[in-house]
Amino acid sequence: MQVVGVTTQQEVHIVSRERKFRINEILVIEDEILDDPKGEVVETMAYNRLIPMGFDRSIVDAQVIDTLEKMGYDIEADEINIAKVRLFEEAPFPISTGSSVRLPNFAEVRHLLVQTTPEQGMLLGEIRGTESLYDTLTSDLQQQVLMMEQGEYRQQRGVPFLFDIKKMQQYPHVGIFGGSGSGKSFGLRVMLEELMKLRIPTIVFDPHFEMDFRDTVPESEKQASKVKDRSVVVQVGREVGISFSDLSTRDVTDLLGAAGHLSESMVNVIQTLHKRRDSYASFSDRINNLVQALEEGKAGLERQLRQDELTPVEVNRIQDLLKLLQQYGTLPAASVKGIHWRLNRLEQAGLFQQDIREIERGLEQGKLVVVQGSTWVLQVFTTYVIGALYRKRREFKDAQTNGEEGEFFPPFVTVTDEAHNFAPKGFDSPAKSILKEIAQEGRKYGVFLFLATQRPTLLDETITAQLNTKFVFRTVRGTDIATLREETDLTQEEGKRLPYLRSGDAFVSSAIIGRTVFIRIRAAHTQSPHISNPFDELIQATQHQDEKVLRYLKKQFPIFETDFTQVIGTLQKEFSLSWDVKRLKQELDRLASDGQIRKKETPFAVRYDMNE
Amino acid sequence: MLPISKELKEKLREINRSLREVYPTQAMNRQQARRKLSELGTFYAVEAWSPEEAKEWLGDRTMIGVDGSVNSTPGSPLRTISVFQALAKGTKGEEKWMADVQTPLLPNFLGFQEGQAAREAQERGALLSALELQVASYAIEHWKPRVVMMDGSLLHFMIDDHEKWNQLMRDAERENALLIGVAEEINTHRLVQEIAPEFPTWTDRDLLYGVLKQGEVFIWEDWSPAGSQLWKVAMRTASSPIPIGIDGLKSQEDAISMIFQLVYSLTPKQGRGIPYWLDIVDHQVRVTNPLVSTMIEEYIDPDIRHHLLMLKRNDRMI
Ligand SMILES: Nc1ncnc2c1ncn2[C@@H]1O[C@H](COP(=O)(O)OP(=O)(O)OP(=O)(O)O)[C@@H](O)[C@H]1O
Ligand SMILES: [Mg+2]
Repeated sequence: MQVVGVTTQQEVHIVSRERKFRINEILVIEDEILDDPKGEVVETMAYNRLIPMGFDRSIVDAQVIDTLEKMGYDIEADEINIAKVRLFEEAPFPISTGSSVRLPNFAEVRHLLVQTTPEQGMLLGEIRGTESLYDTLTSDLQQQVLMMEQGEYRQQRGVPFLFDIKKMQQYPHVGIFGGSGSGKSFGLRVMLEELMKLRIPTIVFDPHFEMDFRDTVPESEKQASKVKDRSVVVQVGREVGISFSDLSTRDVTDLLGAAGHLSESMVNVIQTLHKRRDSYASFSDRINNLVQALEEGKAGLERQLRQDELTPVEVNRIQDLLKLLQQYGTLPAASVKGIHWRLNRLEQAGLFQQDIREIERGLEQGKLVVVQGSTWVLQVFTTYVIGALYRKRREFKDAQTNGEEGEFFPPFVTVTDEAHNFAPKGFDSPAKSILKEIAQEGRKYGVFLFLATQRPTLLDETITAQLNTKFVFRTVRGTDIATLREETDLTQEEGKRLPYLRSGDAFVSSAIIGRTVFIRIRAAHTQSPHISNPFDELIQATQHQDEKVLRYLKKQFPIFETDFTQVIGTLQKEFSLSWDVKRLKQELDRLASDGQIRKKETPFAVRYDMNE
Repeated sequence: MLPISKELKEKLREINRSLREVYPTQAMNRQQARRKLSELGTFYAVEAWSPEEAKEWLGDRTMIGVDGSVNSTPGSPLRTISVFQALAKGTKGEEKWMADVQTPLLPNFLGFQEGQAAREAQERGALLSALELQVASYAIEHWKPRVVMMDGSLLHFMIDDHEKWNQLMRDAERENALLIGVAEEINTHRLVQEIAPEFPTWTDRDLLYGVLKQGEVFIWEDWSPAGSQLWKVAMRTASSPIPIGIDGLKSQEDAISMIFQLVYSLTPKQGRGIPYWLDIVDHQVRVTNPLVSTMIEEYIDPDIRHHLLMLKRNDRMI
């Protein structure tokens, strides 16, 4: 390997006849005067002088090449490999052309690749292009990760990628970007496993019901203890919800706004009707009653009062309604009804059944709390719960700063997929203000964001700018590539590679590392509960039913058409299959054509029987 | 419109007229030429081998291609450095290189005094031939090839360095390695003198142009000078109407038809007519201008470079 051609202070070209270069591998250039600078391969090329490229040269007959190969000529031996290498540090003057180049050993480049230990950092995968360093790797870094490539497990072959999460104190927040199927969710799963390993309190919102960590894959049995019992899954409306009486009027407004757009007059209704410390019951009663009062009107209610035979309770009620009407009768009925409808919608989703104690407890225990719910419910809930937790943590820290003994609440990480829905660029959303606040201030309180999105271009730019570490997976859309290049230190060459990355490969552009590294995310220890393919499911379901039915039929064979009614009866009773004669005949014919049973037709009858 | 002066255009037209006179289109048509040639020698149709046949013929031996290249730094002839290199390359991965560097700035330059430009050019050719002959001998001795293909006619190697040529010929005969030369151009006059003496400016190539069919060889016993111990033929190996020249050792004449088949099989039909193996060797050995400047920059100290080899042209403003 040798430096050739024109060199600059930042870049050189290197050629080799024997060795194919790997993208992202590190090379040492033996230039004594410059103290053997190191660089990374950023582009590789190979060309073969046997296959001419010039347009004035004719294409060589395939036959001639074939003959030469038969005569022993190895075309590949005449291949020349070229690499463009970017130096890690700018040299004071250009590298000498002709300098020889070699592979480094691990000790020489450790500081460029590894910043922490597997115990203290997040062990997320393998650094691509470091295969040649494996032999000189220190033992604490060997066999740390299991990788998966093209669906097959393989052992670690290079240097593990360790994310030094402690450095988030200086450089907070993580962004995860990539198109559909690029490996974001998979990567997020691995990150969450590592947060569990480190017992970092984490809350993750999971609209797809895919973040379950109870199912460890057999290959990772040894690692299972690091995630076992370290997560809790809660569902909004079941284990957790919003404690209504804690809400401020502003919270209530945000909440109802998330259930359906609010007009100005509706906002006014809330501000007028909501009282501090209102419980859900007191607030919803007030609204319900006002709706009723508005419907009946002052005259109507007074007419009712004049009726005979009213019990004292009824009198009281009507008088209350009248009082409400007197107080709030000027509010437009349509707006009050709008609020009424929105409130009901939230209630029906179970949002007010519970509180967030379960989540707080999980975080206090250093666990990963997975919050599940449908997308719109989570939108509502996320805003509320992140706000509440952040406040709690802030209050504790502020109290501590003032020398007071507050109630301890831990620092924590919050993880959101499809983040562009929560903090969209260009318009307001309830969750955006709290996410923005954490993005800008969270570092002070030890509250950190992990945000994933398919569409970086749609994510609020203030927040994007605060994500000090960005994992960039395969991205095809031009506008997103442009956004990512603006927001990271990805080079032109790296930008060009983005559309071609394999699922699970990513560039990590991080202020913590100080440069971009190309990695592959490791295989996850756990798997999501519903990975079964719907088409496999279909086949399985059919097989399952066939087996059941066949087992029963075997006892009944031979079956003639005259037996159908009786068979249908049993199928109905024992297997709750409500088949009619036509359906039974169709199914028997299908089994016969699948070769599972035998069908025999005579002029007198049709007979179904066992296979021999 | 081409940016050339009226005066230049007129001169070009004049030249065209003169060429027409010396090389009239109708002077001799192809049938006529063919008839005259067949009175002198024989035409012979060659069939190409299949890749398997070629492999079988070569057996477990190798095929060697030999070529050389020379280039100099630009500038005044007295202030140059010339780089020579030759390569023998075998199909089984063998390679033998030889190189030399010469400059008139030092005594002992090619062994003669400065200022003898004509001799100098000749000597440069001879030096290169010597290198090529040496790598060829080396190849025969070390790799025992079935065939050695030289770029250029064997006759010109014989003229350039008689001693080393004799050595190579003996080596080839001893080791039973077929030695052949392949020349892209046929620059001899013997055929023309024999059958078209009325065109004294013609070369044999002009006479043969378009006369041969693809895959056809023209053999004439007396084409090679008497005493050279060489045979020589013309062959149309590609679709281009220009034939190539092939020569070989009289002592190895038995293998002549196999040599034709080999050469024909290895030549791309759309190319310049010579076996592709020689193209590959040529490509590898060629000393290009950028290569010369890179080498000079790397190995010659800057002050010498600027003082002695100062390349004025590079400083031109437009
Ligand atoms: N690190 C990895 N190792 C092995 N396979 C991976 C890896 N990452 C992703 N894959 C494969 O790629 C598939 C798609 O990945 P994933 O579901 O994470 O994509 P995504 O980016 O979340 O897509 P979407 O935006 O559509 O949700 C996975 O099911 C898995 O098979
Ligand atoms: Mg996903």
